[in-house]
Amino acid sequence: MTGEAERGRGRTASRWVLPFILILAAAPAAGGEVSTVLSLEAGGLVSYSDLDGWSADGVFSQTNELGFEYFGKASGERGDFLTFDLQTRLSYDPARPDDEPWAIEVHNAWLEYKLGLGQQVRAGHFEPAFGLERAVDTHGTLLQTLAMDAVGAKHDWGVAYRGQLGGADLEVAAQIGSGMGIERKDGSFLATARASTPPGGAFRIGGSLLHGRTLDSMGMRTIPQPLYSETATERTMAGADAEWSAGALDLSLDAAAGWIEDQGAVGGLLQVGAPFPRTDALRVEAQFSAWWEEHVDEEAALSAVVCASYRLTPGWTLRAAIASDRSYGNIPDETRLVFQAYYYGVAP
Amino acid sequence: MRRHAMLLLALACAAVLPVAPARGAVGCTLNDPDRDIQKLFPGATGYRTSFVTIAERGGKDLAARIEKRLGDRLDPVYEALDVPYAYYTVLKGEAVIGYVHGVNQKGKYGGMQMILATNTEGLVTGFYYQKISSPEAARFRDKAFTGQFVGLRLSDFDRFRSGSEEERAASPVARIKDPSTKSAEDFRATLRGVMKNLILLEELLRASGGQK
Repeated sequence: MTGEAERGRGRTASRWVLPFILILAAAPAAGGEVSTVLSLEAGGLVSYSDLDGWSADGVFSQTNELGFEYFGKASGERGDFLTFDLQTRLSYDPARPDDEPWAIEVHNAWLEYKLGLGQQVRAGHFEPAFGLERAVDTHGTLLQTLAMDAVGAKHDWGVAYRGQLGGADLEVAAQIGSGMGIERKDGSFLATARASTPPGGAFRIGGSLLHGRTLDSMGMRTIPQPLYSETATERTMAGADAEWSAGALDLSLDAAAGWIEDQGAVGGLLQVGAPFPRTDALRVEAQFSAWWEEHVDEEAALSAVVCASYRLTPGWTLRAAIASDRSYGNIPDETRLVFQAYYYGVAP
Repeated sequence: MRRHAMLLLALACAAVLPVAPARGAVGCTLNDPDRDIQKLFPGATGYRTSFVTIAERGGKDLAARIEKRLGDRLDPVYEALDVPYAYYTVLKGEAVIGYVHGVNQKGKYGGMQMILATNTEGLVTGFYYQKISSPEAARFRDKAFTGQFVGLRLSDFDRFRSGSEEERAASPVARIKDPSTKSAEDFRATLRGVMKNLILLEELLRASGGQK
């Protein structure tokens, strides 16, 4: 890519992202009482692969990073009317393209206006209304959901409506299909809808639909803009997800099936987690996932990950994971060890 | 070479991370606040959310007062002074009709999230576990158990913890029976969590005038 094109990508991202972040920063001036929480985050990551040896490359959507989250609510005489969240980080990932390991990642950047109890509209950068990713927080964790396979991204730019229908929570979202960066080309878009039983009980289930033309990107980053494919990929998917608290075990299911470019695609994920008795600090989780796409030479990928987490202090969590990836195609099998130190805590 | 240098940087980063100063963890917020508020207060038309920490409302002195009243130390990891607690002040029109507030409480099999609804006088009007990991979780979640906390107030727990033998026996807290067959530890943790929740409501919100 030429330097001019590079600068162009940077300008595209800056033109849209920075003004939106300024609007978010000004959200507390919306009036009424404002209550906010400013949290800081940091992550250190090293991994070993039996193919590539030791590296500091990003893995499982994590990188070496420093960041913050600014979350708040504005309320008036009749209650909350505005919620905002800005979560961004400066990250280092040597595996990024263009010899540009440093990047700014904007994860959450949204404003949500309450239309009434149980009804909100949201605008900005947030999770599409599809799958388990909408229900769990994988921002700092090694274990991820099917979002990257089924949707192609964990967050996207656009608008959403959240409401209730009887006992179900509903959400529909219209987004631009570019994921972390802001780029719309080749008619890219992403429309998603999800209905779920409310969280908080011992069992929760959700169903989702997705149709869109999403851009494939290299490098998880917002600034500079990721490298995008010239053409969008058409996706139509249906998904089901569930969370079940079975005694001391926590189980999660995420499944999706549909078409990518008129070719079949199907995948599933099962995750089981349990704390060690008499300690909140140590937790072990195992995840098994499979993803198959007809158009990728009928490759199937299987992955098994076992992750142990130890909460060292109120903010610091240490994680170690072993992941075994098996592929029935051209991608070689790989076993990886990943070590992560992750901090998330309220700013002083 | 550059790759190795960066690897060293990452390793150094990982090595120094654990010795960084500890700060707060994130407190217990409602997973689905609009629906939860509607369920706990069917007449509600809205709510105001506020985030409050022990550190900002009195720091170590306040923490010592809370520990004395609770009769137990606050856990330095899970009950740190800068943990932000979320308080939902429930409104009917512009009038305050109650509060919803949650705490994290260490149980035998990990953290429990315990949500209380109280009226403006501090009387418990609702209680449920937003999260509980236990082989007997269903027994604890059963309304036959959680319903026994409705109608209690902080003074009932005060009498139960530090009153005379007669006062302890007379406290309605003494009549709450452990619903489990072999999870007494989680039952005790539940009593502690509910009491802590009511103390925090008193100290962090109501003592400062609450939200009108």
